[in-house]
Amino acid sequence: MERLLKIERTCGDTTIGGARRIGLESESLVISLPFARVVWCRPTAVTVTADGRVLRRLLVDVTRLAQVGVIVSGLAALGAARWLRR
Amino acid sequence: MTERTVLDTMPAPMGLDRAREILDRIVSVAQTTAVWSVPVEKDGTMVITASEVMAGAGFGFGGGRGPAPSNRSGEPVGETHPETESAGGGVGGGGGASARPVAVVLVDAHGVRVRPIVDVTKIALAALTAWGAMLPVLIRMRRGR
Repeated sequence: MERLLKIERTCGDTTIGGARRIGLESESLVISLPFARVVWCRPTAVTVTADGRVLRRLLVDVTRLAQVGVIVSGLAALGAARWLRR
Repeated sequence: MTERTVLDTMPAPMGLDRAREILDRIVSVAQTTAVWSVPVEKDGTMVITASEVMAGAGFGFGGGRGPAPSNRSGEPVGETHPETESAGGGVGGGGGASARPVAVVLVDAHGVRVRPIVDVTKIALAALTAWGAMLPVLIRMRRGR
């Protein structure tokens, strides 16, 4: 039987970009229910290997951060207004 | 015809396999290959697009059996033998997948650069929804003073 919640970290195919090797990392969340399934997959990092050195660059989802920021700021404003009302 | 054979004639099991197959196909869209695009090289610069992929699918089924159909006055039509029992069933479902570009990876002679992609429309919609829901509460709180 499949697990209800599964988080997988995968490293995609390494691409050759000039003298560099590039690894593409991603993370996926799989929710499996008896009659439904949801998959959310997002890129996490890029690994660059050049001259024997490995550089890992994280990918930041700016849109998602801004969305969360907007909602959190709204909730904070609401909380502050309630606190000031006391 | 026995009870078992009546249930076997229901279309649900057939549709169930098909629904499971479709569910697997929809969900298989969200794979690593979909997250990272195929690298495109032009003028010495390699471009790889990174996207967030989401897919979901679900289905349901139902079935039942009962006595033979009756006429308008409620009297059964035909004899009330198990042979005259009727059965029915069905399967339904739905699903979808969406992808949103998150960043672009540029590889050139200068190195590897990651450029984020900002979706202003999504941010504006989130702001409108969040503040649109909170503003009436704030106004009500102010009036209630």
